[in-house]
Amino acid sequence: MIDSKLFLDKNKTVMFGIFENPEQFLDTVSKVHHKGAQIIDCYTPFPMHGIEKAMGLKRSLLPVGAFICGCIGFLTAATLQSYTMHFDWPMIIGNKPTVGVSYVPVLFEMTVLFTAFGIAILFFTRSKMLHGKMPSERIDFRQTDDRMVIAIATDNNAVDKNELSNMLFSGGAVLVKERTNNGYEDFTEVEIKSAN
Amino acid sequence: MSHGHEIHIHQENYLFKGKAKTLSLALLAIGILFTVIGIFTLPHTEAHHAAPAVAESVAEHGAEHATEHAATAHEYPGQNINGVDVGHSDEQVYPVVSEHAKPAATRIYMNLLLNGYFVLLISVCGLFFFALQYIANAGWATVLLRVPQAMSTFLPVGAIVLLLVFFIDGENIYHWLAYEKLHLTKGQPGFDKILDNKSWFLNSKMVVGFLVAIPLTWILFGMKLRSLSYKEDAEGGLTFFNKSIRFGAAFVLVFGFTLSILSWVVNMSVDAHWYSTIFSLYNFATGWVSTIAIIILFVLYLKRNGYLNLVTDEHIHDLGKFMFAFSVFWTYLWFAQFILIWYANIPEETVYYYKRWESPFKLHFFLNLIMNFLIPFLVLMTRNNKRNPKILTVVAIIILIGHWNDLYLMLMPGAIDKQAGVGFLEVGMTLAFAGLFIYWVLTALSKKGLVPMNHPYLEESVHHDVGV
Repeated sequence: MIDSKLFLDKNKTVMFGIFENPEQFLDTVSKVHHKGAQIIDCYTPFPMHGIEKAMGLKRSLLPVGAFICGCIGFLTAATLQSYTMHFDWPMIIGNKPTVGVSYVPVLFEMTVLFTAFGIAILFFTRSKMLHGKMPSERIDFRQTDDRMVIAIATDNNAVDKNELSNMLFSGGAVLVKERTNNGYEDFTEVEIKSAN
Repeated sequence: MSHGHEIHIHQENYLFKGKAKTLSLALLAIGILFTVIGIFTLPHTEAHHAAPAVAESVAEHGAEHATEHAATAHEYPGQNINGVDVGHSDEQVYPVVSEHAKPAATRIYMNLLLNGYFVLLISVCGLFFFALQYIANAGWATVLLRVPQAMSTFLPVGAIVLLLVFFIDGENIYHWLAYEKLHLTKGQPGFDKILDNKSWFLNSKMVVGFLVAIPLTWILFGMKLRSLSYKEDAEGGLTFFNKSIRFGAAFVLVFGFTLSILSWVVNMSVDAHWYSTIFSLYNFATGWVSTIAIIILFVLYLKRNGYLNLVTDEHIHDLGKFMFAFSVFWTYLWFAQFILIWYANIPEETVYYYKRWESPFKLHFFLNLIMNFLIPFLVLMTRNNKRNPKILTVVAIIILIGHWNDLYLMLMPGAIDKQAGVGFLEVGMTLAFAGLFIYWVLTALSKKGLVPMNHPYLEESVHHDVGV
């Protein structure tokens, strides 16, 4: 599923690069990743093809979760039907066996139901987006409209900050910000360098 | 996706020679050899032609009715449905009273019918795949579009085989045709109410008309769509693409109705008393998943031999997903047909499965589910398997054998019942058709370039990406 290093925790020192051109953004994300910097996440107003590879994301474990949820659904349906129709109060309908082919529609439906709800709940839980959760950050006012944001962890000193900001600017960033203090309310935005 | 560096797009020309040519011809030769062995080792039956046989039985029944010997040990009064007496009788529905034996040669024609119908389904579904990419505005498959395009050239073969079989041995295969020849009217002994009601549709004139007109329509649509694609290669521009969308949409509309009709007259009318409303869709599912399997096999073959360099794991993955999804789709339809009949337990309907549950077909019945559902479902579930050429090849071949078996189970019990079997004849005929199909399609592929160079979605297809 989603790697915990991807969460934009409040105690992390983070550099944000804000872009307006999707292609430049994708190129820069790839360059930053290959440079060895730790990308926390990318925020884009629309789904972007190839961004997972550019960020170097590992494959999600969600399908495994889906499979497990499906198995639980299948077993639930099998248990429910065989208990109610065969053991607890055997009902013979249309001279059909009490265990058999007639179970299949319910087996199918409950497998699908459990899988669908299961992965939705798993996904929202793991990415901390369950109902009632407030949005954690708004880095740029236009990040849900036409701007793309890359968040890079800078507290591990993997890459020099100046080098990183130069890289972002040369890649086409319109703005580079850094968040240093802990806590959401009182963090300060330090403009390292303004565009042009 | 390899973002950032350019992918060089250039035309590829497939050369059909060497091993592939030898192998496909060898397959054809072995197939014909096996067929000949099969024909000479056919179990001998008391061959009497169908029409007299039916006439005899009618005369027999008539005589018995006339002398009021209704309740003898072997005869039950009432309607005879596919050899099972139903109706008018409260207590006795079974056992199955077998129909009169068919001539041994009918088995040969049944095999021709099976394979002819199978290749017709596959080639028309290839054309459907081709048209679908246009009307859905889909770009991903553009780099491999020439494969289904080449498959659609095989249409005439299946069409001719079906027509020949209908003319040569139709009366033994389709009992409604033998019945039609008797010209019975209401009240006469042997009068069949069900067949009489269906005769406005299920008569030789209509069926021959359908057998000629439907494949012809498909062939014409195929020629038009292919020529548009080749013209686009030569001249470029969006004109041909836009025209392809229009012709593709028209084809898909026609295809939906005509495939249904063809599946009724060729396949379902083998059991003329029985009907299922989901049957045509079920036939489409069989053809469609087989088509996807064949596209996968051709694409993987071409890639292994250094062609189709633009096809990446991403395209293969999507084809694998298609194969997985439509195996499940097929199962859904198969089960939808089965459970309603099983649950309702109406004799007119259950005879269909009753026969298929009997000795020569029981194994096929379960193999059907194992090969067409369980194996593809379990094996193709993971992402890695869908991207693995070896596993895909194996599953595609299993699915093809499985759907051959599916058609075997649809056609054989109704027509030749206990005389059916899988031997040299069945294997040989199928291999011969496979060899011919491979030879034909690869020849078609070698005639034109493998990459639709001026297709507007080529660039999109080259950069196709299904994500991590």
